[in-house]
Amino acid sequence: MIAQLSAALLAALQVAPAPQMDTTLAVAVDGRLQIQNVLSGTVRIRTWDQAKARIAVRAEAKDAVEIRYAEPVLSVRVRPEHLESDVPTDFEITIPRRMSIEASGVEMELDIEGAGGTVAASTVDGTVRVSGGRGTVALNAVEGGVTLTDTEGNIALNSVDGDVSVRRARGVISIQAVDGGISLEEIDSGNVEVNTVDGDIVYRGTLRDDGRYFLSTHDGDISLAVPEGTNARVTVSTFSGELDAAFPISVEGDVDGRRLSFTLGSGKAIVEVSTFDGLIRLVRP
Amino acid sequence: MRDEWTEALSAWLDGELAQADAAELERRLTVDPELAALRDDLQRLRADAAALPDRRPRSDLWPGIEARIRTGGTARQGPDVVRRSKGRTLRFTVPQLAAAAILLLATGGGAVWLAARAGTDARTSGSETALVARGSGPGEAGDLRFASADGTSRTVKASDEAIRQLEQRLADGRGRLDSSTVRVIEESLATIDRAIRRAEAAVEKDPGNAWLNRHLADTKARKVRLLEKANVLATPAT
Repeated sequence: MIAQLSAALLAALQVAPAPQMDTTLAVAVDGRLQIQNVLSGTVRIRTWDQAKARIAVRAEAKDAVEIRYAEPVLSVRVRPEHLESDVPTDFEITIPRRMSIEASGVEMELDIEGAGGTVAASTVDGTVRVSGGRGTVALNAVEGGVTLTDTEGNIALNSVDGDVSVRRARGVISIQAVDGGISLEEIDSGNVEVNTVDGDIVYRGTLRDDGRYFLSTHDGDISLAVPEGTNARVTVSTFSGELDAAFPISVEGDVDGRRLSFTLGSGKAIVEVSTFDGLIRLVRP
Repeated sequence: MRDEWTEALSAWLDGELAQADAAELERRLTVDPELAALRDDLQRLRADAAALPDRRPRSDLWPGIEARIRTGGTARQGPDVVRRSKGRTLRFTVPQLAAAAILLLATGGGAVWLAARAGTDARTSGSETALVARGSGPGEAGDLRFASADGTSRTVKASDEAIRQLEQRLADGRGRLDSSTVRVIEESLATIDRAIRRAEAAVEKDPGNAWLNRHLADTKARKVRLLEKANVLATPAT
């Protein structure tokens, strides 16, 4: 009997989920959430219209995570003594919509929805997915893609090995990638600078009269949607690539076949598109 | 493309060129693609400068660089145009324009170091260097772009040296990186190296091509940036 109980207990322990903690506390609606030391795990952040934060954690031990609030900063971090654990630390956090978010981790999967404040996040190995964000949104990933939707402000995204995707964004946009494509859809911006070394670039959005748009890749194709009525001076540069325009253009110059310009309308905006080796497509939206 | 018109470009962009000269320059811009391309480069540089947030990078290298920007550096060669934008003095010189080799190094923290090196080189050679600081995302050092009078060789030399030192630092610290991170970084560095080799081969065939030179410089700057990131990852937390 004892042996049977021991076996059952052992089995239960083997399948038992990691200990959980679940805390709710009052916070300032425009405060800041800091998540640190996530060596491995997922961080899921949602927002609500309440002046409180709920933090649910699944971790190696009940005391593996330290939560501190010193207005206006809500700090959530894995305690250093638990950093060597093989058990991932998973977070489910709900915060006031306007709260700013800072999160950093190593093998961290980050998923944020409904952010209404600034967002700064970085992970070494994992994807970063953010919906929302206002003010400054800066997302970094080394191995993993970055996806950003429904955001507004100064947007700075970096990925070393992974694709970057932005949809429904307004503001100043700067994106850097190395091994990965970059896709921008439904963009409303007068200041866009995008480049990658090995990957395609797609841009579909405004080309404002007072705007500046720089799209560059070394090895990849570029597709740029040029709305009817655009007023821009467009410069296209390529070493061994090609240009394919879906509408008539009147080329003003051709430097060794590698750089040419043309003017659309009054030519107010600056548009530069370059690929060392790839196809440049100018399309209608 | 004659030097006098490259010289006039900067004044024209500032609206300071006499009406007759402006009209002639505008006519030339329609027939001289190299001049037109240079105008585009200048416009881009100026637009960058105008968009500068007045923020300091975290690097402690900044005071020296900033001092160099504000004092204009060294002895001048020929006429120049000085403009102030949000508190920064920008200098565009004739040799830079004539060379049509405005090298825009768009990098992060690495560029601070890189530009500092380049600036030092420029000082010792007595040539003119224009520095433009440019902010980027939060938590990042401000970007620095520089345009060097005798451009490409110095830029490439400076970036090569930066790369060499950063690679050495990374080699020393790679043991602190996870193996999969090392793999990703090495693969990405290999991607950039391939791009650099191809750009170098293209520049060798067409050394006077401003766009190719800029592309090469940009690609090397990207390697500097990646190495910087990798070194940050390999640095033990304090």
